[in-house]
Formats: sequence, C-alpha cells, structure tokens
Amino acid sequence: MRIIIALSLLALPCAAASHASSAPEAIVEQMAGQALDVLRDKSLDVDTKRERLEEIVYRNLDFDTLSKLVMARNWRKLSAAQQDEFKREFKKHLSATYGDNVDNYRNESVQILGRREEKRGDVTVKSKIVRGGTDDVMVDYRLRQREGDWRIIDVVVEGVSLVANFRAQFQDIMSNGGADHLLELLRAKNLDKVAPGA
Amino acid sequence: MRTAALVAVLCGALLLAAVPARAAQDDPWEGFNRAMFTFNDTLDRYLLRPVARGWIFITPQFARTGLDNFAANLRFPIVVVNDVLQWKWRRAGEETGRFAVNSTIGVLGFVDVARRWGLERQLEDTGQTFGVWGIPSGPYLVLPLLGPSNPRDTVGFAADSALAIYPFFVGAYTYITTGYAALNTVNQRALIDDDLESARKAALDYYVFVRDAYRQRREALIRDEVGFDEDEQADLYDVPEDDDLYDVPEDADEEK
Repeated sequence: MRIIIALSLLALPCAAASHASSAPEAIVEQMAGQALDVLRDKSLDVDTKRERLEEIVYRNLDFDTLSKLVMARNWRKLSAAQQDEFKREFKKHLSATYGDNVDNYRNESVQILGRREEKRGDVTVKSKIVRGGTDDVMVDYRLRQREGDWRIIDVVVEGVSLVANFRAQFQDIMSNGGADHLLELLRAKNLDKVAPGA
Repeated sequence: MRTAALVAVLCGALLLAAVPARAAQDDPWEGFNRAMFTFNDTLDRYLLRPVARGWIFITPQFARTGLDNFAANLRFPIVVVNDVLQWKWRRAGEETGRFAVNSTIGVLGFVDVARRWGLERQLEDTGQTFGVWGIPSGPYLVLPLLGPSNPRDTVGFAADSALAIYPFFVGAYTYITTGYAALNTVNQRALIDDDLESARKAALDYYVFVRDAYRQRREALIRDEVGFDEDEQADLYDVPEDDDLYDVPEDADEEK
C-alpha cells in the first residue's frame, strides 16, 4: 500500500524553474521550493493554489516526450490529430491530478539528495519528501535536455515509475478498445474532476 | 490475522500447483483477478473506508501514528529473520536495536524513538527474501480481502503471519488478536486514505494501475533500492521515432 501513498505524493514537489538552462538539481530544487511556497501560503484559496500548482507542473514537465514515452509503440497507431488530442488531454489529466493534492498537504518538506547520470544523456535527481512522524518518501526525477532546457520526463516514487505505470495502463486500454476508447476515457476523467463514489 | 494466514496458506498451496513454470509478466489470471479486485474495492468503498473515515474523525493524528508505530514494532521478528535470511547482518543488528529502544524508551513501540536517532523503519518480509533468493514471483494474483499479491508473496505473507510477535503472547485469547488485527486494519486504511483517493482519481484503469504499481514496488523492495531499474524495461525511455513507422512492432508482451 505504500505504493499508493507514494504515487499520490507526486504532486508535492512539482514546481517551476524560471532558469531553464540551470542544472537539473537546481531545477528540481527550485520547483520543489515554489510548490511548497504555494502549498504553505495561507492567503491563497484552494482554487488559486491548484491553478498555481498546475502552472508549475506545466513549466517543468516535458509533456511532448512524456506523451510519447507513455504511449510507446502505440504512439504510431495514433493519427496526427489523435496525437495532439492525447497530448492535450494527458497534460490536463496529470496537472489536475497533481493539483488535487492541495488538500492533502501536511507540512511535508523536500530534500535534494543528489544526482545520477543515466543512459541517453538523462539525469536523475534524487530527492525525498520528509513527512513528520511517518516514513520519508523517496522521489526520483528523471530529466532530459531538449533544445537547451532540462525538463522532467519521469517521476519515480518509491521505485514506481510514472511512465511505466501509465504505459501499462495505456497498453491495456489500447489493446482492449483502441485509441478512440483511450481518448474517450481521458476526456471523461478530465470532465469529471470530482471523485466518483466516495 | 491467523485466519488470514490460514486462508493465505491454503490459497498459496492451491495456486502454487497451478503456477506456470516461466516467470510470466503478463496476467494469465486476469479474469479471476479483476473479479477479486472489484470485490475488494467494493468492500473498501462501502465498509472499510467509511469505518476508517469514522476512525479519523474520532482520533487525533498522533494516535493513528502511534498505533502504526506499535504495529511496526511488532513486526520485529519478521524483519530480523528476513534480514538474516538475506545475509544482511548489519541491518538485523540495527533492527534489534530499534526494537530494544522503541519497546522501552518508545513506550511499547508507540513512539518511534529510533527513527530520530537515524535508524529508519525496515520493510523486509519473507516474500522479498524469496525474491532475493531468485524465486520467481509467479503471475499477478489478487487475494480476497488481502489485495494485490502473487504466489511467492502469498506464501511469504503466510510465513510473516506465523512470525508476527503478538500471537505468541495472546494466542490463547483470540478476541484480543482478532480485535487488534481489526483495529490495525482500520488504522492502516485510515493512514492511506488521502493517497488512495488520489490514486483512484489519477488512474485511468485502476486495476492496471494497482497491478503495475504493486509489481514495480515489490521489485524495488527486493533490490533494496528506490530507483527504477532501467534494465527491467530497456525501452522505457526510448521515444518512438516517426521513421520507425514501418518497423514490425515487437511482440506485445516484450517485457520478458
């Protein structure tokens, strides 16, 4: 069950980098700092906080690469129009999911632990979310440089990769209902921001 | 927990017989699994979650954390035995230190004093030990009431239940162990309530979300590393190129 805890914490350390050319660690650190500032700011209402968090996610994640990575070889099965729609809806979905965590903030803080060079020139920045009283949550950000800018292409929480997890889901959905079904599901999720059931 | 253990052993025994020899990464029991998953999920929505919400309402955060610490402290024999079985003697020593400190200064384990001294809680279990020994997990398996697992972890869970400390002390008083198990279940559920709700919102296919997260997490725990193991899925960070258009797509289950 820690997996779930971990995954949903993805939201917290996502913040913006204004200096696109800085080193990956600096980007992650700045991003975390900005997100925590938003979460801690008592003068902001929930909707404003959500909006700000979404902006931070928008600026720091490479949605173009992310979309291709999560779709993998299914990417080529989409038409150009479907690809565009997928990118748009997936971006909306991720941002909304992260924004939702505004309510769950419990005084966590973020520490940058170091970096690791990866294949393909990527860099992983290791960090941990410190939650008072309970276990820390280890979060790895994988960044890739494109056109001079380092942006996040995966978030690995306690060993669970966001890209791998979404890829598994999308593969399943694609093989059962195809691209139209996948896009329909994404659209429905984005329209229905309120938890069903509950 | 005793009953749970028994169920687990029985399921494990029955299913191990049926496990295909190869380490399947796919989900051959998906039909059964999805049915069980829906059953568990429904039970959670209509019974466990409401009870856990009530528990959150009537208890302060420190009480829930304290009970969680107490439960973690009772896992001492499970952790230490598995540290040794994985030949991690230093970690076994650390866990013994944790148990000694937390059981005394930490008031029967309710306060995790050792963590403040730099000795983090360990998440070892017998399923992980089997993994370290190279025993394949077998197919994904959703157990009734217990949730995501696989034959290897099911057998591991049964062993863990036998190793847990409290049955030795209050085994004669079933209502104490049962009551504790029930309370602990509610408390554990309460601790992850926010997270579970976000996960339900984030997932497009909640079943696959949980299945994949379970697999990834167990593998990370077995490696004792929090990072993602790229070798497990070598193409994970390859961007599909447009000029691959006419390549023959690889087998759908390329994950070995």
